[in-house]
Formats: sequence, structure tokens, C-alpha cells
Amino acid sequence: MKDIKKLLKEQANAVLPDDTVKERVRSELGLAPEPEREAAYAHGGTHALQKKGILSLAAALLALVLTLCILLPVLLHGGTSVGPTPPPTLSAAGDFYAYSAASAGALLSSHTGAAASAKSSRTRFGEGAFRLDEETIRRTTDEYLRLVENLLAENAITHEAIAVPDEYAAYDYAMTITSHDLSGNAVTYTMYYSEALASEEQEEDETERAYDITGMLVTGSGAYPVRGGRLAEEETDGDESESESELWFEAVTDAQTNSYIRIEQEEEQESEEGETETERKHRLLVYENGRRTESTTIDYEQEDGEEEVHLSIVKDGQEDTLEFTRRERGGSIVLEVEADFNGSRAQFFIYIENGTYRYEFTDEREDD
Amino acid sequence: MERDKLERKIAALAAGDKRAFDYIYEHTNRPVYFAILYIVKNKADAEDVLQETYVRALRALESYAAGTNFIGWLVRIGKNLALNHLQRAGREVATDFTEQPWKYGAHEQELPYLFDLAAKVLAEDEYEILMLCQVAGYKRREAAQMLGIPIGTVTWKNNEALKKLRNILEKEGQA
Repeated sequence: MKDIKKLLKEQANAVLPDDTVKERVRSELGLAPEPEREAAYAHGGTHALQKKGILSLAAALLALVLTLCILLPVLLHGGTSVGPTPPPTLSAAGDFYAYSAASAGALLSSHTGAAASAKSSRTRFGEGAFRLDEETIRRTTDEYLRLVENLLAENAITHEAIAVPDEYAAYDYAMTITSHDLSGNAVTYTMYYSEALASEEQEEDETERAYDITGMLVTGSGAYPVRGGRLAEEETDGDESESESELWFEAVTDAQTNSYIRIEQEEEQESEEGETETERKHRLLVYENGRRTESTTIDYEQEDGEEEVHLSIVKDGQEDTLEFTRRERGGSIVLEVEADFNGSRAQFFIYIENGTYRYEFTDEREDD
Repeated sequence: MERDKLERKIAALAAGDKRAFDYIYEHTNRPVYFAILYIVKNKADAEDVLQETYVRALRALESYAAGTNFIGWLVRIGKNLALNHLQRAGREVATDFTEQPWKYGAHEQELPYLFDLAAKVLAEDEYEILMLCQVAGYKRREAAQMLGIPIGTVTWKNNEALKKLRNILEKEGQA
């Protein structure tokens, strides 16, 4: 199977349409390209941002922070250490669940706490209606930056298996999940869960397993039933390997009104000749009264030593997107950022040096 | 791809915002192209039909019912144009390019064998899903969104398509 996939990929360029088709269409329709808008000063921008509902944004962001941490420590660095002595055990996917639980926990806490009250006051950027000033961009990006900082910090989220207390004896596993913010403050959640193999398929060098999970997530704001599933596919062929996994995880906020938070994770990893490529996608979805009210997508890509994170937050039919590319220069970390705040675009760099964050705005992208 | 955003860009283009074209084209051309390629089985012809599809569709953008399924609408236009193209080619081409491609310089337009085989042996939906997932590099979830079908169906048909191709290649001793 892998050979077929590989052959298709290798020959893709011979099949995919040439870029000139687009230009031919553009030319025929008289759609000459226009220069992109640049970030510039605007009146009222800062005021608009303040009314945007920072707390609501922070709620989603905090969840994203935690979700991103699923990506790095677990999948990139092989997980965090667990267990007192003698250590209670977790299921094989304990890491996977821990970080989803942390994401859900943060989002739950946010939506049931002060942030919830700010939701209705969130003001949106009008599409292309005004240009953003640097201060507005900085303030907004500061909120999103929490996500990227977690790319730089290992072990931002840790988890530990604990003994299942009698109160939750219905479940097989228990763990505490601790998330640290930038100031070093910690938030701890506890999850009790059971995992059951739902199906298993094996064919030559391919294995596909599906699991069901049920449990209870305890946060500072209450205890929430959780339900979910995980699909894991593995394929090996000599020294090459390919794996795919998907997880969906829902924490029910109000069963009567069909309100819940859903987290979806998808990951693909391919290893060949000692090199590994990883692609991951996360979605955080908020449902109220059975209707989706908020959607956040995180794409993470790592290739040739370069890491890219793409964020997209959709709420009230409007969208903010930010693309962060991490580079290292002279021992410092530099984030190259391309942002689109509901149609207002900006490009800039963030230099992280000695715990400080310095923004540098430019009208042109910097080439390596 | 977010369908809401695509709809916003379509509305923007209809309102005269030329910048929206890039987004619309980049987020829709692959499924349209593969639907055409499945019919015409030739890259150069498929590109020509793809171009014609976008030109015609975008000139008649007011006939698209906002909020329905833009990609599906484009695919229908593309398939009709592809079928027209085949009929026209059947009338116009007296020379047998397929039997003697080297003689007429047509070999450069041929698809790699595996793609040619896929177009012949796979059902249309299997072909399109395989191309989107394995060639165009879309996630199954993205392909499902584009085609308006459940992700489970995409997974199933993708695997079925791969199995079919593998079985044939194994019989031929190539896999």
C-alpha cells in the first residue's frame, strides 16, 4: 500500500495542473493581481480591540495553548514522564488523552468563568474596513502568541498517573494534568477514564485499531462527562514507517441542551531514510444548544528543521488567521508572523531574547 | 478549508473584489481538475477544460446559489465541458493518438501509467478521493469537506482505491 502511495506522490507533479492555468483564467477574466494591503496606522483600532472581548479570546487561546502542547511534548518529544512509585498505570494513549483533557479543561473553565460573560461583548474587525495600527496588532498577537510560546517550551504540560479513587472506581485509569502558563502559574485538572478496543484490523504490514473512551474530567469549575474515540493506523516497511492517528474528544457542558466542547486531533508522521516529517491538525469546536458557535483550527508542520503553526479562529462568521514560522538567528528565536485579522493583513517579526518579546514591523518579508 | 470563508470570497468576487479570485481558485481547483481528468484522461486537455470551466463559471457567478455547494457547482460545469470536449475531439481527431502516440508527438501529454490505470479501473468517486488525498495532499477531512461527504466514506473509498490498484499491480508484478 505504501508503494502505491509513494508512487502517486512521486508522480504528482506530472499530473497536477500547471500554475499557468490560473494565470490564463485571470487574464481571460481581466482579474489582474492587485498589491496586497499593508498594515498601517488606523484611527480607533486600539479601542476596537479593547472591546473585542479579550477574555473570550483568551479563553479560546488558553485552550489552544494546551492543545498545541499535545503536539510537542507527546508527539515530538515522546511524552512526559509519569508516575510515582509504585506507579499507577495509564492506557497506552494516556499522553494523547492528557493533553486533550487539558485543552477541554481550559476551555471549560474559560467558558464557565469570567470569560463567558465577555463573550457577548466581543467586537469583530470589519473585513478590510480599516487598517490596523502596530499597537493593535501587537496586543492581538500577544494573545495568540501564547500558543507559539508553547512551541518553544518543552514540558509546558505534564501529567501523572494516580490511583483511581473509590469515588471513580467505574473507570480504569486516573491522572492529573498540570499546565503551566508563562508566569509559571500552574493549573491542574484530573481525568478519570476507561478505554476499550472497539475494532482491530491487520493486513500484512498495516494495523488499524479503533478505541472508545469514556470518562469524567474534573476542573476548577466542575466535573464533566467526557466521551471520545481514537483511531490509530500504523504501517511499516523495512526502515520506513508511516503512522496516522485521529482523536475526537467531547466534554459535555450541558447534556440537556446538547452543549459541549469537541476537540479533534489528526496527526500524520512519515519516516524515511532517517528523516521524519510530521503534520498535525487540531480543531476546537464549541457547541451550544447543538449549534456550533466557535471553531479554531491549528495546523502544525515540521519539515527540514523548520516549524510552522497556522491558526484560524472563526466566530460569528468572521475569521482571524495567523501563521507563525520559527527560526533561530544568532542564538535567539525569531518568529516570522503573517496575520490576517478578518481581512486586514500584517507581516512582522517577534524577537524573543532574555524573556522579552520585541516586535519588528516590516513591509517586506525577509528572505533567508 | 472553511466553507464559510469560501462563500464570503465568492460574494466578494461577485461584488467586484478581484483579490478574492486567488483564494477561490486555490481552494477549489483540485477537485474540479480531477473530475475533468477522470473524463478526458489527458493532462493538457484537462488543463484547457479547467481553464474554460473557471472562465465560464466566474462569468456566470450570479447563477450560483450562495450557500449551496460551490465546488459541486464547479465540478458539474467542468464535467459537462469535459464531455463536450470529448465529443468535439471525437469529431475532430481523425488520427489515432492512443495507438501511435510517438508518431504524433502526443506521448508527452500522457499520464504516468499508475494514473492512467487509476482512471480506468476506479469508480469516479474512488478516483477523485484518491487523487485529492494521495496526490493533491489534502487531509481526508479536507477532502470530505470539499466533496460534501462523511470522512468515514473518504477513508473507506481511499483504502478501497489503494487496494484495487495494488491488486492489479501485483498481478502485473509491479508492486
